[in-house]
Amino acid sequence: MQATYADNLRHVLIATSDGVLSFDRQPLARLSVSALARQSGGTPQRGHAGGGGRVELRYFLEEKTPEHFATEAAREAVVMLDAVEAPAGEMTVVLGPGWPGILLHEAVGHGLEADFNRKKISAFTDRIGQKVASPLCTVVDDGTIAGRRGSLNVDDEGHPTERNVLIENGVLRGYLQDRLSSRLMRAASTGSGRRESYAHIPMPRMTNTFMLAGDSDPEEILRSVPQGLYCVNFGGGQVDITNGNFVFSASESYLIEGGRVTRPVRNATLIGNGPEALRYVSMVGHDLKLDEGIGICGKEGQSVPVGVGIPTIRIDRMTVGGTA
Amino acid sequence: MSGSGNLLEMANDVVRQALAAGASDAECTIAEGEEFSVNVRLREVETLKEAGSRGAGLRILVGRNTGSSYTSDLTPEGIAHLVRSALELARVTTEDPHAGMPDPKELGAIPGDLALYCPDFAQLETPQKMELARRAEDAALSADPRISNSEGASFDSHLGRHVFANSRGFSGEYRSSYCSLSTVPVARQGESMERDYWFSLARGLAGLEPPEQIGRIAAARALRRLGAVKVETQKVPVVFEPRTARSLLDHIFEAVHGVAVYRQESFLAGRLGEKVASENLTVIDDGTIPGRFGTSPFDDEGVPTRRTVVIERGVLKSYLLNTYTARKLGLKTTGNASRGLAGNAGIGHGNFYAEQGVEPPEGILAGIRNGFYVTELMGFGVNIVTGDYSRGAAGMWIRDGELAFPVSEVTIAGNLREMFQGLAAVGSDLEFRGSSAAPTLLIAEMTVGGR
Repeated sequence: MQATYADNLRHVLIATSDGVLSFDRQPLARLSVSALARQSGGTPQRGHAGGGGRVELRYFLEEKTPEHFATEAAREAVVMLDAVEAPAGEMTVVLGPGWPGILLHEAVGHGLEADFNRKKISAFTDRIGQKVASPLCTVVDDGTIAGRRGSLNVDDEGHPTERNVLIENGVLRGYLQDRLSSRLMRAASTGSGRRESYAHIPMPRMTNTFMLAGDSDPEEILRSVPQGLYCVNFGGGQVDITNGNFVFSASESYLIEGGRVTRPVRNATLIGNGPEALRYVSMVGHDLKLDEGIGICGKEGQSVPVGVGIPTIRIDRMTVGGTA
Repeated sequence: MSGSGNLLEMANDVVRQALAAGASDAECTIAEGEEFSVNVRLREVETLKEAGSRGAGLRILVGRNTGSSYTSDLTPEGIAHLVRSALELARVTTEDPHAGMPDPKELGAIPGDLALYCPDFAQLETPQKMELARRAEDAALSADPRISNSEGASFDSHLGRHVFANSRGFSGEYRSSYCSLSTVPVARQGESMERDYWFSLARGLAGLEPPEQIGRIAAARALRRLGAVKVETQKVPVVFEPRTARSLLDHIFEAVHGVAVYRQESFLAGRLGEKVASENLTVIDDGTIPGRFGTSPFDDEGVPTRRTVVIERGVLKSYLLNTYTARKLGLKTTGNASRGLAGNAGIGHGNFYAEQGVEPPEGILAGIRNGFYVTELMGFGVNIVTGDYSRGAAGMWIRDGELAFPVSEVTIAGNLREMFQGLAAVGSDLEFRGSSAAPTLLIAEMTVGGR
C-alpha cells in the first residue's frame, strides 16, 4: 500500500487593463491510495483510489475517509487478480457512473476549446449547430459547483466561471472561450481561461465536464447487452484534436455476457473518434455521478485540476484494445 | 546569470548553516535557468515567452530522519527559512534505516569537457529566432497544397546552471544549453484532417537540422496520414519506427527504475541474470557521452555518472538506482539519482538506448507480408506491474514489404514480457533526439484492435 495526501492553498489576485480586479482563495486537497495485491506465484495487480476537491481537511475525516479510499484501492487490486484477457475489436461498451466521464473530457471537451477552433484545427471546427451525438446526450462544463476539484469562482482572467452547455440533445452548442479567443472569434467569454500559475499563459480549459442524467435504469442498461464490456474505472486519456481520435484506458472492467456482468478483464485502451463516438449512445442512466476528485488535465505543458462525471451509458460501438 | 563562484559558495553555505542548526548531513541543489520560446503561426508571432528562474533545494538528515524544503528566495532570510523548514520536517518524518547520503568514496564527477554548453543562440536577436521558426513553418506550408493550415512552428532555447554541494565533501557545478526547432503542419483533403510534427534538438544552434528540412519532413508526415482507415482486428507483426520505438525503451526504464523494483511493482523486479528479451536486445544507460542530452558529470547526489549495461543480449544485467533504492535492494548506486528542487532524489536515466542492429529499416519492412508500421501512439495503457500493454496507435499498413496505406483509430496490445521476448529485428538507424533513443524495432506479433 502507498498513500499520499497533498493540499495547497492558493491566493490569486487578478488585475486587468479592462478594470477587472478580482481576488480569490482556492484550496485544493487530494488523498490517493495505491494497493498491490498478489496471489501466490502469480502476477501482482495494482488498484488505485483517491479523491478530494476544493475542500478542507475535515472532508477526509467526515465525508470521504482514508479508509474509504484504501478499501476501494484494495478491492480493485484484488478484483484484478482474477482478470482474463480483454477482448479486441468493436463491441458494445457500457460505462459505469462517475470517473468514466473522462470519455467526455477527451471525446468532446478538448475539441471544443476555442483556441483550437479559432485556428480551425479541431475536428469540431465550424460544427456548431450540427448533430454530433445521439439525442440522449447533453454535455455541460460547469465551473460553479461548490467544492468540486474543477470548480473556480473566477477563471484566471477574472471572469466568473459559468455553466456552459457543450452539447444539447446531441447538437453541438458552444465552445469554451478564454479572453483572447473570444475576442478573435467575436464571442462572449465563457469563463474558461485558465493557467497553471502566474508563470504560464492562460488558455481555454475545462472545469467539471459531465453528461446529464437520462431515464434508464442502470441495471436495465446492463441487461440489454448480450455481449460487451462494462467499464467502471479508468486511468488517463488523450486526444488528437485534429483528427478527433481519442483514447482512454480502462483500469477496471468486466465482460458482459447474456446481460450479466461476468469476469474482470485486464487493462485495455478504448479508442474512438470525437465527433462520431457519442452518436452510438443508445441508453443513458438516471444515475449521474461526478468523480471523486482526482483529475489532472494536461495541455501544452500546463496542468490544471478538473472534474468529470457521467451516468451509466450504453455505447453500441467502440473499439476495445485487448488481446483476446 | 550570476558568476559561478557565487552559487557554489551559496550551496556550501546552505550546507554549513544546516549542520550548524542541527542536521547530521545536508545536501543543497541550486538551479538557475533562462528560457526563451517563440511560436509563429501562419507566419505571425502567436506567443513569445522569456523567463528566468533560480531556486535552491535542501535535503537534510537528522540521524535517519529526512527533511527537505526548497525556495526561490535566495536572500539570507529566505535561506534561513529554508534551513528551518527542512529541520522542522525532519522532526516529524518517520525514521528510515535506509535513508542517507552516498558514502564519501562514491562521490565525484567525471573529468573533462562534456560539451553540454554551447550557447551560440544567445547571440541571436529575437527577430532572428522568429525567422528560424517562420522558415520551418513556411517550408511545411509550401510543401503541398493540401497543407492548408498549421499549429505553427516554435524555436525554444534554454540555458541552465546546476550546482550541488553536500556535507560529505562534494561540491560541483555544470552549465548546459539546448535549443530546439519544431513545426506542426495540418493537412487536409476532403473530410480528412491530420496533423503531425517534426523537430530537431541540439546543445547549440550549429547542431540543429536546417529549418527547411524540419518543415519538409513534418509536411510529409502529415500528408501521408490523410485518408487513414481503420483495419480489421487481427494479430500481425508490428514495426515501431524510431520515434515510437523510443517509448518502448521508456517502458524498460520504468521497469528497471529502483523504486518500482524494490516495491515489486515492475515486471522486471527480481529478474536480474534472467533472459527477459530476445538476444537482439542490448540496452545501455550512459551518462558520459559528450554532447548528448542525457549526459552530466555527476548525478543529483554527487555520484559520477557512468555507463551501465541494463540488458545484454536479452539478459537483465542491472537496475538503475540512487543511493536509497540501492540500500533497499542491498546493491550499489548506479549514479542515477535525479531530482528537481523539491523532495528527495528520484531516479533518472542518462542516455538510455537500445544498441542498433545491422538491418536497415527497409530491410525489416521487406520481410513483412502483412503488418503494421506504428508512427504514433496515444494514451497511457501500459501497466509496468504486469507488463500489460494496450495503446491507441496510428501509422501505415505494411503490404508485401512496403508501406501501403495510412491507418488510424486502432489499438495495439500485448504484454511487454512477450513483446521483448518476441523482438524479431533491431534496425541500424539509431539516432538521438533526446535522452532516450531506439532504432526501428520489429515485434513478432501483437493484436491490432480495429473494426
